[in-house]
Amino acid sequence: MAITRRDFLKISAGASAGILFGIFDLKPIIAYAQANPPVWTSEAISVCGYCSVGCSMIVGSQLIGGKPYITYVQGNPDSPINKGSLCSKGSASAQFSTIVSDDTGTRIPNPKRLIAVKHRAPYASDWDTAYITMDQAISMIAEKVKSTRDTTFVETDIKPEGILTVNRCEGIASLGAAAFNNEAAYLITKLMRSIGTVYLEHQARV
Amino acid sequence: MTNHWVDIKNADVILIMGSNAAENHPIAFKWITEAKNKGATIINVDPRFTRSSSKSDIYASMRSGTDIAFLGGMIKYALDNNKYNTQYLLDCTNSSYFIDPNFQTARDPNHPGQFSAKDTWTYHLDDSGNPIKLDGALEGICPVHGTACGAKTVFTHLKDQYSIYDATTVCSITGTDPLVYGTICQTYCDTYLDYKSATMLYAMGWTQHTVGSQNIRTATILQMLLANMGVAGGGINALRGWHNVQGSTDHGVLYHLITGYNPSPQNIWKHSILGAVGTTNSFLDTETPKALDPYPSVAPASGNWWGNRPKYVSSMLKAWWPTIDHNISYQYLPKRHKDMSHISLFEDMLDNTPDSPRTYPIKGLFVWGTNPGVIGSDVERERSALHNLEWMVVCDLFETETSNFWKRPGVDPVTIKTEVFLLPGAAFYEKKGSVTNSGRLAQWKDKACDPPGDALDELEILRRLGDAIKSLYSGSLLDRDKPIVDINWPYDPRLSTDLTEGISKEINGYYVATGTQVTNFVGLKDDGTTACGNWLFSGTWPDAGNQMINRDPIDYHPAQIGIYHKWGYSWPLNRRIIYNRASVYQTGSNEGVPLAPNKWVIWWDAAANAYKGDGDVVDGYATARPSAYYPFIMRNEGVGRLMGIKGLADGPFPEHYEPKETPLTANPLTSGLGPLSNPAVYVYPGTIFAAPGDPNYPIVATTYRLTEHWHGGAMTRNLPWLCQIMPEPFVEMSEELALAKGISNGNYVIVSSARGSITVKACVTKRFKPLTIAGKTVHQVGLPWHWGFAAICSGDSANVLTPHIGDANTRIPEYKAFLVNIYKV
Repeated sequence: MAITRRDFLKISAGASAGILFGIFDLKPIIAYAQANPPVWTSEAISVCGYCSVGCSMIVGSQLIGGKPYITYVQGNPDSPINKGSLCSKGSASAQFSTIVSDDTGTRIPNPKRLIAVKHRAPYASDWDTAYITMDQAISMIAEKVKSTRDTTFVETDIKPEGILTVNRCEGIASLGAAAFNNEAAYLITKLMRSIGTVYLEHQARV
Repeated sequence: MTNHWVDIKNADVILIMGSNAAENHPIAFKWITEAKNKGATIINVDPRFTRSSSKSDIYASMRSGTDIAFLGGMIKYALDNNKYNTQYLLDCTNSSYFIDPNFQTARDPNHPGQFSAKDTWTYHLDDSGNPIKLDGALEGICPVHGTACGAKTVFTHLKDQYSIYDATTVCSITGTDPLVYGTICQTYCDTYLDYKSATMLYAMGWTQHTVGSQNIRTATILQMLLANMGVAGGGINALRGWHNVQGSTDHGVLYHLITGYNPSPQNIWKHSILGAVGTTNSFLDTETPKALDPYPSVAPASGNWWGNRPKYVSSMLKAWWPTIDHNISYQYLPKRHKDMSHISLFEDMLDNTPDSPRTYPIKGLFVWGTNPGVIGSDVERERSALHNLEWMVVCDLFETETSNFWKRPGVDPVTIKTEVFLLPGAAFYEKKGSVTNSGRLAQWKDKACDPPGDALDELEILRRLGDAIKSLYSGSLLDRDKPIVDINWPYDPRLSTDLTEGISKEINGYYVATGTQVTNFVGLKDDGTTACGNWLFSGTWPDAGNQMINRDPIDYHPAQIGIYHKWGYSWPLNRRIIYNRASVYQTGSNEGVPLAPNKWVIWWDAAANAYKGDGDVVDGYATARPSAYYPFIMRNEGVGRLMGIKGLADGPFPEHYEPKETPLTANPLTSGLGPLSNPAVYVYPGTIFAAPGDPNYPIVATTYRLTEHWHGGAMTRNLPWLCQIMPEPFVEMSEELALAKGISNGNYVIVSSARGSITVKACVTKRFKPLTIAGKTVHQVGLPWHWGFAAICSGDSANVLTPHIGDANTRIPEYKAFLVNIYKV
């Protein structure tokens, strides 16, 4: 059963008042949690996706409309780093996947998440309404990479000492990687350098 | 981090400066609290009284941008009061090395505030080209040339350089209470004793300045004076931002690097060919450091680990182009021709160079899970640069200020040509793979569920994009297309049938002939027989399997210092505290005995002629006794550098310079005789700044982050709970400033800088106090980032105000010290 924000506020109201007066009575919350244990379809061990502390997490999913979504996260008590705890961002991170609707009290996929490619044509005032698949978008992008690379590629520089091979694509830049896994970060470097990209940066400086 | 999160518990003193762990790395504060409970003293220095301050034993306020003055005064205090560790300095640092006789510090009256020419920032050499050092003393006369040469040791120059950083001068620059400052100097420098350690926890509060690199250098000098490097509870610890910013830096997603901190080739003649050490005009000869050793024929030797660079570069080339000779595939790597760091990239996108026709050299941009539309300094300048693109691809979880720049408030979309693709990516738990935390610890994640709808793991997006590009170039016989035609994409098929696993095994490295995994980077070769995507991660996936997935939660270290070496895998070679050879006595009857036996890291047992079991992995040369090698193996002279040799752009020692935007008109350190601001900083054409002491912008501003939001905000401003807790941006100011401006808590105010204005709520607190700087009252305000026009909670971005200027070395933008004014709406 999903705990709505209103339910949570209701049951935690007594505890909040207690905190205000220096009395920490968590009994109502504990009782509620015991009566309503979280139900999930599967669990996995992950690492929090915000800061670089690297808190280990147990992530639980439930089926919504027959598909698994994340409904629950908790700190992994085994982790020597976070020993089961999470901060406010980590604790909220199930909401990347699902939120509880304030209107209906039911758990729904986060409506702001992107679930399909968006495309904006030059000079258009909004996103296209036509649906395109990921693979269609990727082939369009690959064509742009090729035409930009082929028109901005510099094979050699003339130096005082002679002609130097430089194999540089000056027309394409790439930003970001720190939000991705190591394997994807590595693949960004490998792909970008192989097409000749020299404008290559991620969030280390910003 | 040289050390790691759990190790913070081992510190006797913790200096939190340039960071705010309680709010920005909240769970890490567990280990600060653990240290405090064991009796450690927590010191916090910050322009604003933060939650970290509230948990500290000593808090000092300071003016943003004056860290070098603050730390420089601590160096002077240590030197004046003999609170430095002489034996450590002699054994582990370059303190007793002689410097070029022509070198002069910034104290030379002929050039106050500046150093002698850069070619003098070098060691004084003997006839064989070896550096000359004193034995058993920090100061004295050159043993080779006598008094005639006039050369002085690093230690002598250090004393000279910081001779004017007395507490009175320092506090007049920083605005710190002199009594509190004195207590901090004493408390921190008391850790010079062998058995005491102190750690420094910093973050962007140190790096995001025009003197960012030198802020870190100042910290390094202090930590070496106090014998705090390499030991448990010590180190210089960068509390990094993003959960995998460490990993993506390690993997070279930066213009100046390839993988594993090897430099990317430049269009200079000395990078003409790959070559080898000793070959003319060779990349490897130019970029591989040669060992420096005052006594080359006797131990200790200079380990010079970067002497292995040819193996690492060659193996990366073989991982990418295994069928091509690495001498040939070296030419497949692009050679960069100028600074292409974040600010430069956007300036080139703007193509603002005066008096030359605009060609807009950057046509297409990939934006992988980042949001320059909020996080860029002078952010409207960066947003407007995006107008000049022909196409942009954004991969993210949500619409962002970057993906939607063309329909931001105040612009007409129909005037903007940029074609935009927005690709849906996967949240962190919707994909498997590894991430590397700030302590260099790679941890494996399992996949919890598929990303929603058409969204994909970015690794899969990259694979398909690479496949599509490769197929467009298929069959091309042009030389320029060979880097794509020949690339081993996405990885060697012998390694795995699974994409993530295959890439991870390629990163670890394998033998080209057989496709079997190398054990670790010690097995890599420069002859083309080994392939390895990133040498630092070699050891993460040997034949024995994935080491990053290890989840044994027991600390097997006998001293229980929190090593946990069976939880994840820490580069390099699963070492948890780097430079750990410096944690033991180097020579003599004490050789191998830890400086702090109750929290030893490694311990060489002379009787057994071996290191004790279950210690940390010994830094390089794992079985060699301490006296066999100088301890800092990543430096080519094997010792830590109190003075930076050839050093940074701005000098071999850090010197206090005012921020580019300063409320002062003269540098108080040099009584106005020296440069006001950092003379080594590059100013981009067309960028805008307030004048020094500008009466229109009299207030010092700094930016900071909040617990409830993340960086550019896309990952938090789309989550309802976090928006409810922290719904809108604000400017935090003192009660005194609010009173002077007629502002009450909660009023809307306009904050303006030379670059732009924002309207946000005033948050009037006791956490800021006016400071007295060089005799005048200076107010400071603070603004959180995070907001923009997209997402479910929106507001003006503080980066509308920040300047487009960077550090003299790294060009990390100055987000932390600039000038503003404030008006009630």
